[in-house]
Amino acid sequence: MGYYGQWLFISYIKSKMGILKNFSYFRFTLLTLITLNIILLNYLKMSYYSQIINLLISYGIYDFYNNVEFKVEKKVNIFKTILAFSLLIITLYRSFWLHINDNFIFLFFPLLLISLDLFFNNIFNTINNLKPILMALLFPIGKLLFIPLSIVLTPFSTLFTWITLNALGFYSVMSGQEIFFSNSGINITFSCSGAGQIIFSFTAMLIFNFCFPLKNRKFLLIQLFRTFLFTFSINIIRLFLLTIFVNTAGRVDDFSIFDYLHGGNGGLFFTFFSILISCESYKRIYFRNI
Amino acid sequence: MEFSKGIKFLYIFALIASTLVFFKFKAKPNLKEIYFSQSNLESYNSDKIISKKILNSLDNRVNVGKSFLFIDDKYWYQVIQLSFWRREYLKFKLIEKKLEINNVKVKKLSNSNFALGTFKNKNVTYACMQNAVKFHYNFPSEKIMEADDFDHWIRVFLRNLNWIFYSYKPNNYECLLVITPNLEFFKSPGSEINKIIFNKFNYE
Repeated sequence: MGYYGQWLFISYIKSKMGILKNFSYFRFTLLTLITLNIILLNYLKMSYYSQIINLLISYGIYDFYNNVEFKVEKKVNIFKTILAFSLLIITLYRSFWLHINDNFIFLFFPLLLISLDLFFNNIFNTINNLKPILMALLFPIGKLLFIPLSIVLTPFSTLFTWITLNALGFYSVMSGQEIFFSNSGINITFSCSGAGQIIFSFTAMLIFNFCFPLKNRKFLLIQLFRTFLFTFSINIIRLFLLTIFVNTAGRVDDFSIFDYLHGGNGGLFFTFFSILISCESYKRIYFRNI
Repeated sequence: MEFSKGIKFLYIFALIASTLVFFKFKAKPNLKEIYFSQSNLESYNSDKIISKKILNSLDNRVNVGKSFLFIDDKYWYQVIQLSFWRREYLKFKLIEKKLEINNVKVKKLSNSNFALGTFKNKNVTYACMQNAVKFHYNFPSEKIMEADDFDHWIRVFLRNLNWIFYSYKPNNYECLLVITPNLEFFKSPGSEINKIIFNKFNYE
């Protein structure tokens, strides 16, 4: 009898704490998924840009679920559960073959988040709260947009770099996507076009808008336009500096400012500045219209 | 309610268990079997010059198989079986870093290429060989593509999409890394290479 009474008491407490219990399972799984994704991206040696974008997205998603209360489903929906489990198994099965440079990593987190959402939440809640899934999809969408955006941006980046060089007295010649300066020159490829930085900055602004929404969609468009201008201009400054210091490229014995700004951590400074200015602009719009 | 709790636990368990399995087994590309044409050649199984353990720590884009050391009157030839998920992953930078090969110079020879470098203060030559006439140090792209070459970029875009879904079952690229101080080794591809390396085992 004592055991039976104890069981009844625990069942009563559990039924009273049903929502909390359900949500804690969900939160634990979400945190596990976020942690797993961060570890995987690091293990697969993704670029710093990708890892920072992933951290921003993870923060946005966790913040969203932290502030939303879901209705707990009283009955288990078999169809929804099977769908969620199938998605989980397919994604996990495919992820056993994940390796460095494998593009599937961009879909890993969004697919598992959809599965998680389907599994733990009411289907109507999922449909009404698509924000976290949209946030997770920013990662693969950004990668998908990289080539088309680079095709558009490369001629503009080349042209504006050439104009800046000549306007400041550094005589140079432009041919296609190449700029010749002082017996040497640079070839503006897709990774130099600024498309990566623009996608990075746009992703950051969209996540801000999910977490701290601007009052009007018009303000968001203004902010995205400003972000584009800041990031594009800063990339032109980077290309300008790279052209001027192109003669230092490939130095083995001595410090090469070209190699530092082109490849290593030096390139991250420019992204940092564009994000800094864009965040300041976002903050001003947000507080002005709150 | 108990059913619901059970499947929730199963969900979390699947997520955590698959992570552990992934990190424990780290899937690597398949390796072909090598059959020796003479049974006594098993004794060639050796890694006196280059320890296989050094290359085993490479990332999971490459799988390192058997290692052999052939010695003739003048030179030694270290052969290491390699397999990559894709042809594009054949890059020697990591291998050179692990083996501490310096002063690398790439030489082109018709459709193949090989490298010359310094390994343990000795000049060596090396490449990854598919057969006696086909060997590569890398697969360089012919030129930097222009942004307005739409056909090329559409191909790249579609190939990247394709790799998302099919790269778990790729057509592996397999080859034999041959490293030797015989600097003339790759310069006359064909029968001489067959005599030194490929006639000693079946590798197809």
